[in-house]
Amino acid sequence: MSKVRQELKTIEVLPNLTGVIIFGVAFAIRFILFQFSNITEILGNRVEIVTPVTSFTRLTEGLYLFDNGVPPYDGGAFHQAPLFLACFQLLSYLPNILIPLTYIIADLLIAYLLANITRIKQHLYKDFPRIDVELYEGKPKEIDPWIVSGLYLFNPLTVASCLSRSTLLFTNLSVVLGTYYSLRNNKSYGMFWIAMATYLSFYPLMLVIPSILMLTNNTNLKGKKIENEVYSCAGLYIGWLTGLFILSYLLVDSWDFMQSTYGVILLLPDLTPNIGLFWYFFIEMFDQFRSFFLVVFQLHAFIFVVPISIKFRNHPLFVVFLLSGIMAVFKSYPSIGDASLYLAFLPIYSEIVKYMRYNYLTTNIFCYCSILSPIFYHLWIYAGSGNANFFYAITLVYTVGNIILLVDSTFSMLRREFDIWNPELRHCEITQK
Amino acid sequence: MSLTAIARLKKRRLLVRSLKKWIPKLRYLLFLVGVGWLFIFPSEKYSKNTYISENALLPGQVNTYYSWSQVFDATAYRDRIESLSNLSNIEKVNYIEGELRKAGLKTATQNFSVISSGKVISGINTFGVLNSPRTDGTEALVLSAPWKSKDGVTTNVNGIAAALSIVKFFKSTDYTYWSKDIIILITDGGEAGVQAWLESYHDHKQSGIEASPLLLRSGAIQAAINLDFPGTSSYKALGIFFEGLNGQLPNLDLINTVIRVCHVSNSIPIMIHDSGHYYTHYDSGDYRSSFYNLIKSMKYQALGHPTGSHGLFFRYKIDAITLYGQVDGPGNSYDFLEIGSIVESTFRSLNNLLEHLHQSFFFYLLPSPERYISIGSYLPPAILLAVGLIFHISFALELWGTTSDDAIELISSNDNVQPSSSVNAPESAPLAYLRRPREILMPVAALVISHFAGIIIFFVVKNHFELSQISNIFGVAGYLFTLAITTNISTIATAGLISAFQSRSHKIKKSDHHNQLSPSPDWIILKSVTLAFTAMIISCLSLLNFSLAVFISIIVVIPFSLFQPSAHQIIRYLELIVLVLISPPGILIISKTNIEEFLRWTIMEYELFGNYFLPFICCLYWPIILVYVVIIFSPIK
Repeated sequence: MSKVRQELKTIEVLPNLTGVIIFGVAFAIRFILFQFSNITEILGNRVEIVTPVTSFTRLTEGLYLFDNGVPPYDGGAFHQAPLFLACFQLLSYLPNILIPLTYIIADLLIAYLLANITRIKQHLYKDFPRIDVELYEGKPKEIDPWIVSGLYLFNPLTVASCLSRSTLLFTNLSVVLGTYYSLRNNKSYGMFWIAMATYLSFYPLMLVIPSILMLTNNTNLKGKKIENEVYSCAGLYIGWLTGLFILSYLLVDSWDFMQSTYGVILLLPDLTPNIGLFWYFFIEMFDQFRSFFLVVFQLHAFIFVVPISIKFRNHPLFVVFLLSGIMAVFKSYPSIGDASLYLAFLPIYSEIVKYMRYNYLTTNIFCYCSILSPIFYHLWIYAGSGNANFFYAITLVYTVGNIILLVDSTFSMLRREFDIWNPELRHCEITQK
Repeated sequence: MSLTAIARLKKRRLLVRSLKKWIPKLRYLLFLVGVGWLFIFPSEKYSKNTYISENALLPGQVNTYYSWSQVFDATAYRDRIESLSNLSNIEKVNYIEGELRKAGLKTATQNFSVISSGKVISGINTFGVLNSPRTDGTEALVLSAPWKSKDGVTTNVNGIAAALSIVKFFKSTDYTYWSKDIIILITDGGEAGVQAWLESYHDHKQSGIEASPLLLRSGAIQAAINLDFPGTSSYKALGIFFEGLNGQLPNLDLINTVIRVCHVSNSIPIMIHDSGHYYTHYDSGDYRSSFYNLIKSMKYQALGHPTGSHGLFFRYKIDAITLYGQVDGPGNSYDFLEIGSIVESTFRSLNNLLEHLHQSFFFYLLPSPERYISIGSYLPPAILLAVGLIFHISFALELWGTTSDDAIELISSNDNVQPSSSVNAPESAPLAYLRRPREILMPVAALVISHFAGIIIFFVVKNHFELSQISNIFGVAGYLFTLAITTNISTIATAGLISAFQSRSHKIKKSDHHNQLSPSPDWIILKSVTLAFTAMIISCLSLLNFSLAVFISIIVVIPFSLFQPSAHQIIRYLELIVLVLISPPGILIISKTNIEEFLRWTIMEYELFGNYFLPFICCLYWPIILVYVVIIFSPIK
């Protein structure tokens, strides 16, 4: 075992008062809201929060069919991975309170891992040069890892997503676990969790590349060849994924789940409104163009993987941030839970915030969207005085807000690096030819 | 770098600089333009003629058969109802039910009662269903008439009599053209009765009303006409009431249909509400009367107060309108014959509908009955007012962002990095990053705490009638007690925040800031956050309830733009006085509203119908005022 790996192994965030308070309050808020209010039902039906592929109500439906020996995917309502059936069937034998507890603990675990990821990231960037404004009495000023968890836990999007019992939470957990283990150079676990995330909601497939980047970053130190390392990672990933598929097959005894989960994600048969770009477009679409535009839309989501991974090959964690942002915007059934994941990665790179030019704009867009999307949905569905265009307009604004944030952080990251390596050019504006 | 790129950079920088210079002045212009724009609304040039958008309606195209024999029926009903008006509820209901049965309708009654704002409201609704001969009863139209007219005192004698005679006529007629069921609904206990009936009809309990289930039901209700013809005399003009709960409006086609029918077949003068301004066909009225109509309409909308029984139907996606008989006025008078034919003709039009009313506008203002201003024309002023606030923020942002000067000065003194001449830079630009830390935690906390105080205030106000029991012990008026509690909460919240800000500014002064500019004063950040929040509330609200948004922005935009901590104590206190005057209790006191009565109806409408006026004022408007008190008393540096 190499020295770096050994070092990374020992990095842990130490619990302090801030951490305890943050986790305690976050737990209390969620627990109280779960137990003593009907907010779960309200949030569980909001189109902004749950989608056909993450809805707990649909999971219950699938579970009921599964319990009664009917093939769970026959009803056409259930589009989630078979492993959920096994886990939630197990949970249903236990006291009722365990379901909310599972969600709360998963959320807290994500936050804890984020703190650890922050710590590791700060360790990895320890010797990286900085610009002077980041130094405080000669030492770099770093964000407290617990603050990163706090920003995740108290993000209203996270709380709403957790309370809605959206199963997206487990995808997010797998992504964070995958990132965490990859950063720790734990090849097997890292790949397992990325495979798990892919298995649960397909799009995290694109995170394989940044994970491999993280795992291979220190390869030379260990005297191994990079190609071999990449092959072994890819092999592990494929192996784990195949394992999960076979396990699922054994569980439901047919391959129907492939069509009902990945088929639905890719081919979009369910056009329930959500905050993404797909539903409205494909309602309007003439059938003969549908397959062409499906290919275009899906390819568009994946097209960013390679350029981003090449440009930021030295900052694989940042690639994870950007790619989860792109997933949150361009996937076929996005929800605010996706946004909560990528927003959680942003404070880890807190040093780029001072470069960001549109903070004020993006904050406002997020606020306006969270107020206007329920209003417009209400005007459309309940009051009858609005129509689908109202809601689609606000989802467009939401998408634009997300994209501005992603573009802005990319700019900030690049500009900061440029400033670090070219101190004499700091006063120059950069323009495209 | 190419020359064109440099030229472009220079141009861009020039633009930014001039924008920075002009924006602070622009915001006052925006306010003036926004308010001035509102005064163009009543002008005849600004509005457009209404038109029937749904072609299926064909208003006024049918022969009406409501004639003198029906008028005799109606007169008989009228005399009987008048003699009943002093009797008990049950006797009245028995009479109505009996008459409906005689006419051949299925009938049922519904008891309901509810305790709201310290009073028990109860009553019995009566209703009957005429099954359509041509369809299976999946759709229905409602003809309703409340027992009491809109003043709550006069009995709606003619309204009920007309409704009974019309339904009897609809049933007995030989013409089997009804393709929708017709429900006649006589409601009791004011608007609570309508709410009780609608909740039971749709099996959707939303308020605390205890109501017996309905034993009789028909299909999905497409539209409703509510008749309000108080007294027994004849009428000179027809008033149109259309504003519903929370400022919702019926589809414009419904209003157009009624007005067209009135004008085409009967040439009855029309009024908007009971304004006293009469309109004949193609009459667009003068500026003054349009202005009056708009103000009245916007006031109803802003308070979210339904202007009649029709206002509660909107919640269930049913378009509805109240027809009101105005007793005094010029010209010929009209009677049952005209009321009957108007309703008949309108129902014939609605009977033609193939789908729910959806064609025409849902968002509009009516300066006169046949002129409308659509959402595209009325929204810009509200948005301008909100944008004025946002421009103010960008001005404030400029204050706490870096200006190019101090960035360069600092960098040359600290970094010892000179902009070298070898670099082909056009001229040195501001740094790409901020050197001034932005500390937004405290300001955001202040905003959150004030809104928390607002929620507490809301609960205090909501429980006003329970609390007034306590105040009775001390022998003070109930509203004074509530006022005292809310004022205390506001004072404690703001005082706490102010002292927190002051102690913080001391701390910041003590700690020296190495290598960095000192963070900008808290009040600037707090002010920009609050302004952004206010702008957001105004612009989002303008989509739901345009009138409320306009009134609020007119009240707050100028004070909010101008106020900031001043070095002179006197100015601070003057600012405080203005803020107190524009706070909800201040407005109530200036406008000399009967606070007890005001609280009674706002609380009742909140509890029974879900009017969001009270929660909005307590949880959103009041806290912003509180935050502003904190801002004017924060330390300047």
